[in-house]
Order: sequence, then C-alpha cells, then structure tokens
Amino acid sequence: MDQDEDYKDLFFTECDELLAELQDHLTLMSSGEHGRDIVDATFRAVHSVKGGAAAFGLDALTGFAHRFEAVMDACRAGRLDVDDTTLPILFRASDMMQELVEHSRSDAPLRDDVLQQITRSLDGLVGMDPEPSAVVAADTTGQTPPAAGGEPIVVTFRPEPNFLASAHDPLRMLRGASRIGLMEVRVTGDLPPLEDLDPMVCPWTWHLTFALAEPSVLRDFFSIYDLSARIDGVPTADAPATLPLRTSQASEGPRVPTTGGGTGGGYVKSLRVPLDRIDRLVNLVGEIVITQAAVAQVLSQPRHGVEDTLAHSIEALSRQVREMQDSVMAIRAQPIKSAFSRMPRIVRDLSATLKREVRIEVSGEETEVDTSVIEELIEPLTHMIRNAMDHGIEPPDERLAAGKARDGLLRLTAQHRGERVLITLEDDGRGLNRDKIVDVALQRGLIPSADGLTAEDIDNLIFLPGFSTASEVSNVSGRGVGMDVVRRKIQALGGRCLIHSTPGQGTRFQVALPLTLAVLEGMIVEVGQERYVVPLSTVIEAVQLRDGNVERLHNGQILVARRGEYLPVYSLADLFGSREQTSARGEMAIVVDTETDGQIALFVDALIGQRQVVLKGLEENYRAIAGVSGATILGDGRVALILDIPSLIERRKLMFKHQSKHRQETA
Amino acid sequence: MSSNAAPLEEADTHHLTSPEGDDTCQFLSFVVDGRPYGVRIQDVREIRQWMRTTSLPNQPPHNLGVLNLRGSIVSIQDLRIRLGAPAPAPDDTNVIVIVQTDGRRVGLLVDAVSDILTLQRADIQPVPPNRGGGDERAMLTSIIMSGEVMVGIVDLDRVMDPGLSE
Repeated sequence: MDQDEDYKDLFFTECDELLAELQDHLTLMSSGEHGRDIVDATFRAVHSVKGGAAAFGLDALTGFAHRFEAVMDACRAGRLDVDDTTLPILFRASDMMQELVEHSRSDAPLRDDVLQQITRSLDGLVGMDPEPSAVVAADTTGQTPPAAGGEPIVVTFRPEPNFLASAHDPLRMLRGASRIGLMEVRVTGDLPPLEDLDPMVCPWTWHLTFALAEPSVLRDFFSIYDLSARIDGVPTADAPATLPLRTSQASEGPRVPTTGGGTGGGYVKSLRVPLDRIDRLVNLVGEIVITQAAVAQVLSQPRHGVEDTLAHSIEALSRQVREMQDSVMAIRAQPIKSAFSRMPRIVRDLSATLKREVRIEVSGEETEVDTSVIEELIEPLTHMIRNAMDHGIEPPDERLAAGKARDGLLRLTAQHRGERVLITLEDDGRGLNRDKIVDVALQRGLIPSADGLTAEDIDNLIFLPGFSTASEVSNVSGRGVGMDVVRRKIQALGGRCLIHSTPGQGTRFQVALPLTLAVLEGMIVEVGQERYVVPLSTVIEAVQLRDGNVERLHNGQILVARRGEYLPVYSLADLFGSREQTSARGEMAIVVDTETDGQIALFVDALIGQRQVVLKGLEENYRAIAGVSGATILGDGRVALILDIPSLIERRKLMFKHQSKHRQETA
Repeated sequence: MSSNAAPLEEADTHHLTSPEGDDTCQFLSFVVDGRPYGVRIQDVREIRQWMRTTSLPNQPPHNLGVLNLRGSIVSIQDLRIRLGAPAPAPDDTNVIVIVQTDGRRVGLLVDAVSDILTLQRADIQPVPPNRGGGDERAMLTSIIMSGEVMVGIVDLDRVMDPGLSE
C-alpha cells in the first residue's frame, strides 16, 4: 500500500529479535535465575511486541501479547511464582507468540485450538476469566482493541516544527490511532497565508478522543512522537505497570545482544543496516586492497626517483585500508550467542521426546563471528545436538547402571583459535559404538571391508552419506539426514568437522569455521612459476631443506627432520596431479598444520609474505574444486589459488589407497 | 594487456542480433586448426589475447586454468582439445573468446577470430549424424553455410559443462 508496509517489515524484524530475547530470558529462568532484572526484561520483550502489534492493528497478536504480558506483570509484582508449573506455559506462550507473528507476517497457518488452549492457561495463571472470543477475533480488521478500558480519553496532539522533518506523518499517526480505539478527531489551527507558509511545518492541532483504550497502549503509541510533538492528555503511568520511555529501545531499532551474561539489562544503541549495503562496502574495500597491493608492487621494484615520502604514504595507506577493512568486517560480526541461545531450548524439548535427562552448559557465547556464518550454523548445530542426545547420551536408568550421574551433560563451547572459531560439542554418553558402525557401513556397502581401519577411521564413517545407526527410525535424528549433512554444511562454510570418541565416556565433535567468508589472512608462497596463498592460521614455520635433515625413503616418500621429529614432505606437483609449473626446487618447505593429519611439510620455492587477501569463489563461473578453497587476485592482476592443504592430502591419500588396491588386485 | 581486449558492450550485441529483422542471426566465427567454427554473437562478451593462466589442480586437459577478468575469476577451456584438434602450448597469437550463458562466463581458447557472419535462419542446418559419434559432433549444435564455407556452431552448454565430475 504505502510505506506503512516498510514499517511493518521493520516491526517484524524487531519481533524476531524480541522473541529471541524472550526465549533467552525464559531459558535463564528455567535454569533457576529468577532475578528481578530477568523477569523485567521478559516483561519488556512481551510488552514491546504488544506495542508494535497494536500500532499495526494486528489484533490477534495484540490480544495474546496482552494476556502474556499480564502474566509476566504478575510475576514481576511477585503475585505469581516462576516455577515448574508456570515455566512450561510461558515457553508455550512464547512459541505461540512466534506463531502469531509468522501468521501476521506471511499468513502462515495458525493453530487456533492451541492458541485458545494456551490463552486459557495464561488466563488461568492470573485468575482472569477466559475470554476466548477476543482472541479468536483474529483476522477481522476490527476497531475495538481487546484491551479493557474505562472513560474516554482526550489527547491533544500538537506537532512541533520538526514533526515532518522527523519523518512523521499525521495520516499515519491517525491511521495507527484508529486501531487502538480512536473515536473522534477534531482539528484546530489555521493555515497561514500562502506567502508565509512553511511547507515543512504542520500548523494544525488534533484533539483525539479514545474510548476503551488502555492507558499503557496509548502511552506506547504516543511515545514515538515524544520528541516531535506536544502531547497532552495521555494518562500518566500508574505505579508498577509503567515503563521507562522506550525511545531508545524497541521503537528505534534492534540492539546488538550485549556481550557477556544474558541478563537482558543494558541496552546498546545500534544501527540497522541492510545487509546488501554492507556487502557492497565489503566488496569496495576488497577492491581498494587490490589496488593498494598493485601500488605496493610497483614501488617494490628498484627504480630511480621513488621518494621515501611516497613509501611512507603508501605505508600509511595500507594501514588505513587495513583498519577500514577491519571495521567494515566488524559491522557484520556478531556474538555467536544468537545461534547458541536456541540450543538449551532444543535440549529441553528433546529431553521430553527422547526420555533423556540432559543438562546443557554453554560457554563462549560472546565469541564474535560473521553474521552469515552464524545463520548457517544453526542447522548443523541443532543436528549435532539431536545426534548426541539420541545416540550418545543414555537413558537415565542405563546411566545409573553405568555408574554415571542420572542426567547427561552436553557442553557447547565456542572460542577463537587464530583466524577460526572452534565450536565444540561434548557429551558424557556412551561414546560411539564402533562395532555397530562397522556393521552398518558394511551392510550398506559404504566400505568394502573393515580391514585396516583405525578407530578414528571408523568414527569418521558416520559422516558418510546414507549412514544412520538408529536401528529404529526415531522421529528425532534417524530421518535419513545424518551427520553427512552436518559435514557438508560445515565444509560449504569452509570449515571442517573432527570427531573424538571414548567408549563409555562420551563423544566430542569439533567444528572449526572461518570467522568470515570474505577475507583471509594468507601466506603467499611461490612454487615453480606460480604463487599460492596458504591460510596463515595453518602455517607453523618454514624450514630449509639440507642433506642433513631430509630423508628419502625407497618408496619415494620424503621426510624432513624438525627438532627430532620427522614430518612427511609433499610436493604441490604431486598433490595437484602434476603440471610442471608447480614443481619446486626442493630447497625449502613450509610446515602446515592439517588438523586431521597432524603437521606436514610442503615444498615451496620462496615465501613472498603475509597478506590479507579477498576471497573469490571459483563456483561463480566454474565450480568448486577439491583442494582449493577459492582464489584471490594478486597485485599484478594474476589469479592465485588459496590452497586447502588438508583436503589436498585427503585426496592424495584416497588416490594412493585406490592405486595400491588396484596393484594388489592385478598382482 | 588490456590494449588487446575488445569488449563488446551489451548495447552493441543487442544491436547486432537482428539488424535486418527476425529472420537473421549473427555469429562470431573463429578458426580452430584451420577450420571455421562459430558461436552466437549474443553469447560473446569479450575477445582478448591469450595470457598466462593460473592452473587448477586435478583438472581434465582441456581446462587451462583461470584468469582474472576485471575482478571475477573465469576459467579458460581449450576449445581445440574439446573439438578434437591438435593443441600445442598456447602463445600470444592465440585468442580467448569470453562467452556467457546462464549467467556464467567461460573463456574459449581458439587460434584466431575471423569474422562476424550474418545469416538467414534457413541457412542453419542440423549436424549430420557421425559414423563414429565422436566428440566433435557432440560439441556442435548445428552447422551453417557461409558462402562456400561450412561453419560449425559450438554447443556452449556442453563446453560450459565442466565434465569429469569428481
């Protein structure tokens, strides 16, 4: 229709944030924190949804939020205890509110019966008479708000000169007011003669008569105009049901979740920026980085007339560009909390479904990661938790019999490690059943035989497509999607999965992800005529190869001694399936940590230096290639590949296995 | 290096598609091992001189690696190999024709670009079945007669298909 729709979108975005916050607070309460500030914050979240919903005439949502709010208000005032009877209802109410928001946003199906049932439960908590009729009046664009009211209230609304300049619109104000019980409008004021008319100043005063309007709804509604209009007649706040003005809160934009504890206090002012604009900025900065590298390259060539000062300014430029890049990336960084905070709830729900008693400990929620990574993380994380609860943690009786605590423990942590974020999910369950894994893998033809498989190899079989150990397909984790989906998703994000299991004691999944999908700190190396980028976080050191520290075995394998330890040395030509440009002279190697295969050495000819590189995908015009996580453009305009050494080695090992098997068969 | 590049602006290609009504088609023709081939002109984005590429690991021989095309990374296919022609190491005399279909760009290495052909639709013929059913036929969508000369029209969908899935 008009820009009301835009505001509505904004409101829904805000709702998502408020609902996530609500979920957080409820989870905190269920873990035994009943602090006043948490209950307050919960109340505020519900209240903000209600306020917005009322302004947009979303009656069903407003009505429901109103009841929810009444319950939270009772909790706040100490009239109602937050305990095991209340909490489940509050959780369900929070789900219902989500459903109502979805319903209002996209006409998603609404379970009317459940709505009524929860409404009754809420009303029951505060001893209200159930009034289902007001709630079921869902989609009618009725004028009557569900709120109870009293005497008509007359509000005088006199716009200040900055009213229009503040992007307010009297028509929208009136339209909004008509949804919260506006009965009558009177306008006073005169239009000045044309020569004196200032089109940016609104000369009129409105006298608005409201009937059946709830004072708090009116206060919320008019609080938006606090700074740009004189408003008289709105009933003042009465005792505990009042709120501080919300101008810096929900009505102006989202808040970045505060780092540290989830107490819900301390609002941080923040800016809502459309992601595409940020992306454009990110790309632009990428270009600047490339240009700067080009200039630096020219200057690095010895030449007459290159002044010192020029070198200095280039130095400064690089520093500034670097800072700019960092700060731009920081706009997108968010605490991983927004993904983690959903997990306690999932554990709670699954505990009931799976008849497990499980506690989850979450730490490192303040770890910051790129927004895109966080969004993509929720699904695999959920699946890992399901898997751990379904297959890892035993039923309570079995745990007691094994001499463990009755309730299982899941520990979810995040921490920065170099340029990556490391997410760990540990359980103290029965560990992976390796015999069963082998049986299943054989049965499904995933492996030809179990000969020569190490415990680690067996554990990794669960990541194969089509693998699921649940002998009965449960409705939780045995639905044909398995850990292979998790691994694929993580790999798509440029991360990798590790698994470590101790029978009888538990399983640990580790996911290492890049902090961002846009730039990478890289070591540029020269091999033959080509230059490559190796992610700096994986490079340990460079070693000179001399006769003294290099051993060549008869099977062609080369080992290098480094402080009393032998590391395998690979050549890029070999890993790449040859091409003469990539063969090195063999005088130098870099030591790389592969995570999966420990440390290895790679022949290189020279180290060019470390540099921040802008990642470009190969998929855009071609396709993804195993062993190459992307490419970047160097200062001279040439393309340099970003090596994914662990997967190159993985591939090499597979080929080697295949060849040796082939050799055995032909022999 | 960019002095050799001759980008065809999109407006130009639109203008070239049907200057004489709907019944004509235009093709860019080029030479591979002495024989003329062509692509539809609206698929051509740019023509540039051969420059050294960055090779990719574990690729079929017809993949010559990738190039930086004004900030985006484009793979180069050796059309000579795809058409079954001999393919000595490319040098400065070779030309890369950058084509785009389905929003994806790829560069085709050819020996030289020759001409722009304007033809009646009726001049376009199907590829006759080949005794051997060899690769060359599979890479063509149709053939056209330009004067006395037969020109094979390259099937870009086949060429763009990276082939040899891993």
